[in-house]
Amino acid sequence: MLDLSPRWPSVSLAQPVLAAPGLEIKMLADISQHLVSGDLSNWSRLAGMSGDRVGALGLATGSIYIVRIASDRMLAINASADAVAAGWHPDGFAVTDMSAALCVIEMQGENLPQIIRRATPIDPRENSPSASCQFAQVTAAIYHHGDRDTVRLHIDRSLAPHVWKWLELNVSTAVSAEHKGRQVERQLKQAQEKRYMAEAPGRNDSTQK
Amino acid sequence: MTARRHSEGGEIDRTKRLSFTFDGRTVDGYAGDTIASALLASGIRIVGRSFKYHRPRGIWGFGIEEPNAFVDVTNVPKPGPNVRATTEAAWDGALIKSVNAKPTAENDRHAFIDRFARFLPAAFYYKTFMLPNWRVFEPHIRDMAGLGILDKDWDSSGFADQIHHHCDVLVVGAGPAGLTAALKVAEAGKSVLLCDQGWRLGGSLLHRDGEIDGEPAARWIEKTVARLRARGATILPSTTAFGIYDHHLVALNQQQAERPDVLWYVRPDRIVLATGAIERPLAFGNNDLPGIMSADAALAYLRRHAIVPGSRVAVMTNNDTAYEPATALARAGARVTVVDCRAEPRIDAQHRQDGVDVLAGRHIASAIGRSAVEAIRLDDGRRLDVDSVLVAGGWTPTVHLYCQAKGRLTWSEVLLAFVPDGDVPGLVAAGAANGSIGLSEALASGADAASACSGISMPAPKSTGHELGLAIAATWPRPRGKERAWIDYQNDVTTKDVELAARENYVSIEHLKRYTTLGMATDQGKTSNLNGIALMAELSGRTIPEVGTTSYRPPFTPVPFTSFAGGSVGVMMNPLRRSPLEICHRADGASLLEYGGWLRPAYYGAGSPEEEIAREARQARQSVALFDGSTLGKIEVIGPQAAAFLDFIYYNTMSTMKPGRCRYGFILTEAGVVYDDGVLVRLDENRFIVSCSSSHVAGVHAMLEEWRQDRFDRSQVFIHNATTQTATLTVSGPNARMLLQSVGLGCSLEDASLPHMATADGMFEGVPVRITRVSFTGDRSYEVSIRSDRAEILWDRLKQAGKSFQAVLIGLEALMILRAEKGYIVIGKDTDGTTRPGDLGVGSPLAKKKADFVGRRSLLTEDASRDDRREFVGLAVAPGENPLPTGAHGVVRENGRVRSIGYVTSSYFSPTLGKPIALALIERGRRRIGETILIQHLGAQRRATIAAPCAYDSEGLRLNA
Repeated sequence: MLDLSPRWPSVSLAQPVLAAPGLEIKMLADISQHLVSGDLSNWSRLAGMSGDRVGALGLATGSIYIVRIASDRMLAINASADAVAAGWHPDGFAVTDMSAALCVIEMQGENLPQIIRRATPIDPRENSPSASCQFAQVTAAIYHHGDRDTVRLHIDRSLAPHVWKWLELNVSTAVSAEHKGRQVERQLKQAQEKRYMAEAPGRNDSTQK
Repeated sequence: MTARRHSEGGEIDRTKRLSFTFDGRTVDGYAGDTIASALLASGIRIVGRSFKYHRPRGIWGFGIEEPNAFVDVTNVPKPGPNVRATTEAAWDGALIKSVNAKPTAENDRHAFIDRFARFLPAAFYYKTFMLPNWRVFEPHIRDMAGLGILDKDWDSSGFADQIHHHCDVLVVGAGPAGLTAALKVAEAGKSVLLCDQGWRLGGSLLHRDGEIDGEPAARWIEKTVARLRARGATILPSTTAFGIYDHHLVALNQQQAERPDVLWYVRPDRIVLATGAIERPLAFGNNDLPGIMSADAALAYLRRHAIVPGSRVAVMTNNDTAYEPATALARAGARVTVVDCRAEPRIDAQHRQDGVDVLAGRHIASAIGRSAVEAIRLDDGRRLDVDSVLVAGGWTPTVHLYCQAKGRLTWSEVLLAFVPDGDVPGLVAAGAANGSIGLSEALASGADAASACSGISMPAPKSTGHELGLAIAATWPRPRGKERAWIDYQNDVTTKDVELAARENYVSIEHLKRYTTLGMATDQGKTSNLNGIALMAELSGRTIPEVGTTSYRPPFTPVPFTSFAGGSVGVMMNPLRRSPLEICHRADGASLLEYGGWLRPAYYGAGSPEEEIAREARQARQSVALFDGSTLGKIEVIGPQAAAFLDFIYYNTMSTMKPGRCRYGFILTEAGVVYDDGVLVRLDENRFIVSCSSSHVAGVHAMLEEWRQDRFDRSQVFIHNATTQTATLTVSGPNARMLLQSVGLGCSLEDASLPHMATADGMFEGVPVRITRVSFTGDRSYEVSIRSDRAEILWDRLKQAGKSFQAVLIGLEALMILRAEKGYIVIGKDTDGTTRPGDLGVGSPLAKKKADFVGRRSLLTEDASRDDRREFVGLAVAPGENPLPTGAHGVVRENGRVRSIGYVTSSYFSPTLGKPIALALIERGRRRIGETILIQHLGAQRRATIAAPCAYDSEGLRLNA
C-alpha cells in the first residue's frame, strides 16, 4: 500500500513566516472570525459596527472590521462576543464561529503585487464589492489591511498548507522574475542602443557587398 | 550554389560563435541566429520531411507562418519536441533532429512513399483500412504518424509562471501600426501592454524599407519604444497572443530561453489587434521543393541575418511588394529574375537599374529538381536554371484573433483577401491585419485605433520615404494541373486533393478541411487557407466570399503544455486538504493516503499494512479505538425554516427530531439515487448540523445552497459550511465511555443523559466541546468535536489516558473493516449511480413521509420499482476460502451465456470473526438470502452464499455495551 506522507510533507500552521526581498508573509493567530448571514444591517446596528464592509482589495483598518462575502453574508472580524452568539437571531441573521475554520495570512512589501497577480485574477485597479476570490486555486477572502502594501487573506484551514506551499514555490519565482525582468529590460535597451549606433549611418546598405 | 552568409550586416553578434548538430551534422552560427537562419546560412536545404508523402522540405518562412521546418531540440536548458526552427533561438551545443524522418531528413527511409502518392489521396485512411479491421494497421500507422518525439526522460526543472494582468489597452503586434497605436494610447494616459511574437519590436519595419517622420525606421522604432517605456507601458517581446476568450480575456505565451514559458492572462478594457499579414504561396508544380520560400522571408533573412538564399534567384509574384526583396537580393549579388504574373506590371525604373530581369505576363509552370529546386519551367515552356525561387502571392491579413472574438470578415477586391468588417465591441484591428498593407496606411490605421480606444483624435506619424504599392492581380491555384501543386505544405494537401473533395461533394469549406486536413493542426491555415478556398470556389462555381472561411480557434500557435499547467503540477495539481491532527498522525507513524481529497491515515505502524490494519481492527473490538473523524462534514443549517428545508433535502423526515438528538438519513439526487448518507444533529429549534461524507462536503454544501436559493425564503434559512471549524475525535469500543470519563469532558456520559444518537455540550480545559453518540463501527462510540486549533491537546490527552485501556489508533482501512462487519454502507463504494434507497432496504420514508423531498418523483417511476433491482446484501464464503475480490461479478448462465447479476462492492478478512466478509449489490438479493451463487472474476468462478449485510452483532447490543 502506498504511503503518500513523503509526497505531501506536513506544514506547521503555528506562526510560520516566509520572507523574500520586498515581501514578508506570516500567519496571524487568534483572530476572531464569525460568518454572519441574513439581515446584515440589523446585525451591524446591534453589534455597533456601522463601518464599511470591505470587499476584494478594499482597505480595512483597525482590529475590528467587516469583510463582505456576498450581498447577505459577511465575515465579522473581532466583533464583541454578544453580537456573535452562534445560531439563529430573531433579528433576522444567522451566526457561525469560523475562528478556527479560517486561517489568516498577512502579506506585506513592495513585491506584493507580484504575488497577487500570480495567485488571483482579480483586478488590482479597482475594488470589488465581495472579498471572495480564487487565490492559489482555493476560495479565499482578500483585502488590504492598514495600508495598501499589506494584504490579508482568509482561507479554509484544511487548505492552508496548500496555499502556504504555493506561496513558498511562487515567492521566489515572483521575486526573481521581477528582478530578472528588470535585468533583461536593461540588457535589451543597452543592446538596442548599441545596435542603433552601429546601424544608423546607412541601414539599407548594411547587407551589401 | 545554395544560401550563403555575408561577412557583415544583420542582427547577429559575430563575436559570439555557436555550433549545434542537426541530424548529426555540425552547424555553425552566431548569437542572434534562429535555428532556421543558422541552417540556411550553413547551406542545409532539407530540414524536414512532409507529413504524408515524406517529401523533402526546406525553410519557407521567417516566423510563425513556417509550415515545414519543425525540429526536436535537446541538450538545451529548455528542450522541446516539434518546435518551429524559425522561432527558436539557436543554442550552442544543442542536439537538433528533424521530425518525421528516419534516420535523417536528408536520407529518409520512408521517402519511397512519395512514389505511391497517386494511391494515397485525401481520405485514403478512411477508405482503405477497413478490413479486416483498423487495429491490424493501427500500430504501424501510429508509428509513422505525428511529428516530433517526446523525450521520456525529460524532467521539468521548474513550473511555468502564470500571470494575471489588467490594463486599459492591450496592443497585439509591435509593427508600425501596433507601435503607433500603443504610443498614442499611452500618451492619452492609458495603461498599455504591448506584445509581439518577435524578440525585437518593429514587425515588418525590421526588414522592409521605411522612413517615418523623416527618420529611418530603425530610429523611429527606438524612439517610439523609449517613449512607451517612459510612459510606463508593459512591453513583452517574444510573446504571442494565441487566444481571445470570453469577456476580453486574452492569453499570451511569453517565450523564455532557459526556463518554462510564461502564460499571461490579460484582461484589458480594449484590444488593438495589429497582428500583420502573412505572405501567400503561389501554386505551381512541385512548389514544395527545398529552395522555394516566401519572398518576404528571404528579405528578412537577408536584412536581419545577412543571408542570401541563392545566387540565381527567380521571384514569382502577382504584386508589387515582391520587388523590394528582388532588388535587395540583386544588390546583394544574386542574379534575379522576376516572373510577374501580371501582363503589364508598372515596374519602377529603379528596379531595372538594379539588375533585376522581369518576365511580365508569365508564371512558373513547375519547379524542377530532386531534393531541391534546380530550375523552373515557365508556362511558355522555357527552362530557367535557378537555385532559389521566391514566391510572393499577396498578403493574407492575420485575422485569427479577430475572428476568435467573433469578428466578421469581408472580401476585399483590392487586397484579394478577407479583411475585418468593422470593429468588435472593445476590439479594433489595425495595420496589415485590417488590410492596410502600405506603411502610410498602417501608420494611419494605428493612430485611428488609438483614437477609438482613447476617444482622443491624434495625428498619425507620416511615412516620408518611397513606398511600393500592391497592385495585386488574382493568381489562384488552377485545377487539373499535370503535376502536383501544394496548397498546404504542413498537411501535404495538393490541388488534386481539393479536386477530389469537390468531386465527392465535400464542397463546404468545413467539410473540405476535415476531408483533406487542409489548414488543420499547428498551421491553422496560415499560408494555405485562402488558396484552398479559392480553388474550391473555382471548382464549385462560386465566388471566394461564397465559399467563406473555416472557424478560427485558439491557439493561434502551439503553446507548451507547461504553460497551461503552470504551477498546477505534481503535488500542487489539486489542492489537498489536511487534517488538523496531521502532525500528530505522522509522529504516531501513520501511513497517509488521499481519501476523497483529504490526506488521512490509512493505518499506523511500521509492520506490513495487512498486519497493522488487522491489529487495529481486532483491538478496536476488544478495547477502545481512537479515530480522527475531523474530515466529516459539518454544514450548519440555520433559521426558522431550517427544519422544513431539511425535510425537503433528506429522504427521511427530520423535522420531528428533538433538539439534542441525531438522526441518520439519506440525501438523494433528483434522479432518486442515493447521493450521500450521514447523521443530522439538531442543536436547537433553528440550528442543525449536516454531517455528510468527508469527500462530499463541497457537493452537499453546493446542493443545499442551490435548493435554499431556489425554493425557500432566503431570509429564513442559511447554510454555513463550518466543516473545518471543529475537529472530530472519535472514541469507539467497549471501553470508550470509561476512557472519556477518565479524561473529563464536563458533562455526564451516562446512557440516561447521553443515549445513542444524542448530543451534549461539554468543556475541555476551558474549550467548549460537543459530544455526539453516533457509531460507524457498531460499538459504543462518541464523537468529540473541539475547535480545530485546540484539537491536538485533546488528542494527546486521549492517547495518554487510553494507555490504561489498551486504546489503539486506527486508520481508515481498519474503520472500513469494522463498518463492513456491521454492513454499514459507504456511498459510492457500496452504491453506484443507480442505487436508490429501496435497494438498500430503506423503503419506509417513501411510503410514509408526507412532505415532499428531493428525488421523490424519481422513486415512483417504473424503473425504481422493478422487482429485479440490485439489492444490498452480504456474501459469505466457505470456511478456509480467501476473501472475494472486490468488483467480482455474481453471474448466472442463461441461454448458454453468462450474465452479471451484480457485483462485490466491499470485501475484507475480518480479524474479529476470523473469516472473510463481503458486501454486494445483487439482483433481487434480499429475497435470495441463503442462496448460493456463482462469483466470476478474471475468468475464474467460485461460489458464495447470499447473507444479510450485517455479519457481526446483528442485534446491536454492542452499541450500548
